[in-house]
Amino acid sequence: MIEVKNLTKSYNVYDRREGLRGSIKDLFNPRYKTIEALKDVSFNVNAGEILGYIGTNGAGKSTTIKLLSGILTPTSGEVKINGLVPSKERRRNAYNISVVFGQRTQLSWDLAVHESYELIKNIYDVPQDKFNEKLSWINKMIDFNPLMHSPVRKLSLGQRTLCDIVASFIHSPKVIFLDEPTIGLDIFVKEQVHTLMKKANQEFGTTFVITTHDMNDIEKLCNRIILINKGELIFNGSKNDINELYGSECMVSFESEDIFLHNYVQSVIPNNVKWKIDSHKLELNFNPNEVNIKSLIEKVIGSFNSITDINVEKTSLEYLIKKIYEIKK
Amino acid sequence: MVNKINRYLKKRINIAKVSFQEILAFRIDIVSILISTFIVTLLSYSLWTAIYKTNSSLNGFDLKAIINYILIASLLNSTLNTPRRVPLNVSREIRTGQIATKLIKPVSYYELNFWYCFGRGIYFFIIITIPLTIISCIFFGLTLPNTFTDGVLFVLSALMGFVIEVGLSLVLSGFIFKTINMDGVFKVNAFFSYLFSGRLIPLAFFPKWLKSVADFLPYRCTVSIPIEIYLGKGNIFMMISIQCVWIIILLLVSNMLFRNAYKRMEVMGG
Repeated sequence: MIEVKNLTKSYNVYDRREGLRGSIKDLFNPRYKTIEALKDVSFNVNAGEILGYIGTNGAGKSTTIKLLSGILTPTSGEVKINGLVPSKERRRNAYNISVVFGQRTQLSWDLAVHESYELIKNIYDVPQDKFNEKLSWINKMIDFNPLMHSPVRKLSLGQRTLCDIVASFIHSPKVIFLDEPTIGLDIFVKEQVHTLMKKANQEFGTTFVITTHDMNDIEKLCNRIILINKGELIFNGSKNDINELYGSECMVSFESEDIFLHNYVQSVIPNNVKWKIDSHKLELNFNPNEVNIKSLIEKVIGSFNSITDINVEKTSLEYLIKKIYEIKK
Repeated sequence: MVNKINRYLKKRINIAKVSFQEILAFRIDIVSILISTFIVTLLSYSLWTAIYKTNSSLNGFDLKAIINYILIASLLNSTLNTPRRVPLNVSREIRTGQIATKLIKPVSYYELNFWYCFGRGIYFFIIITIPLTIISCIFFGLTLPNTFTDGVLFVLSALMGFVIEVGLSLVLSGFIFKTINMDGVFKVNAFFSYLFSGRLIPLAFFPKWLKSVADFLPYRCTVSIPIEIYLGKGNIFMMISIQCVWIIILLLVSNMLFRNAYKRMEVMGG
């Protein structure tokens, strides 16, 4: 469905000098520097996948989305969506895709939501019956009717995002790109967003590419994950792959009335267990295949008298992802 | 084939319809606009009447002609303001990154702006131009053109003038994509448009050197030429041809600029 080969994007931006003198110099002799937003990125997305595209701020996530949707033209490399090159065949590609930008709406600010939907229906040549079908399908999952008649400017951020996501479904695109869709949304709206996307994926086979750094989104929705750091691709695989490749880890933390002492802890905890002290809190990280959780916990409780609380966690995706970033440095 | 044309038109009409609805929802203070235009017209009317107390004809215009001129110029201008907004809109949309939501549509950004002008223009035609026409007839003695043909050709010419103003605005917008702030340029253009279209005073009243400049520019097609046709002055065929040529030039050039701009776009905001 989506093929990306050696995708590179660089910009020339002004390299501004400091201070007043600098600004004047800039006027007569401007300097430029090249920013490499994306370096030689390659990956494929199959139809029906939900891809989580993760990176820190400024890693190149939005640039990728803009390249994939044809808004930007690559400096070098290839992008193909369903066989079409987005920046060259805009019109045909537009029928196949939809983009939801997290902080910008495609809807008309002063008009009722359904007016914007009518426009979308007309621009994309959606037959009236299909249009009605789509909207009633959505109404089954979330109570959408009250939102439809409100002008967009009166909606809260969460409601607006929901409306934008619904708008992206209207013309039944094969691929929907979402650029940080859940920023600023409360947990209830987030759930509604997740439901919509999961159902669309199951019933219509829509492919999703979601840029995010919200672990919740990734855990709930994505079956595949790509990590981007400073324009380079550092991981491409499923959630299970992350567990297998970077080791599943277990985390056990203890809270005590007394402060944990460095030397004593060192003498108690076995070598293959990583530990960290934060005055009254002790955190242990280890591979559950190598270390028996039960005996470890018993040992700690036996060695420290005033344990008040124990917390056991299978290592979160967040922790593993941080680990990948560190390894790749 | 008919189906295709149908769908083609339906989309564009819908874009215009939405821009009409948007300005409708925005609630402009129509009464203020009408009153201020009335006052300006009244002043203009008084001024020219005074000038013509001592002259029966100036530069080919008698009193009746000049009064008709200033009245129609005002009527035409009320819709011409709409396309002049486009470069400022485009500039803002690029700066805020909002343009991204429009670039992914199956209708080009160029066309979205083109049809936007018609929707909004029709709104202003209905709520400003028509009332002003009635007021002009009643209070200031606006008279009809001499022949029915003149009238029809006037309407055609005025429409072409509108398209030319749209084309001009799109040409200007086509230069923006390099993210320099061109808002100053656009405001200057709005002034040039006002001056060289003949809105301020008829081009016949310009000093010779300025008139020759004005003859080369497309602005005269928006106000001056339609009015000359209305008044039955000059070579109608020649003037309509000039308008046709400008339409073709402006639409081609603006189209080219936009295509070029898509390639070199830098969109703001992550």
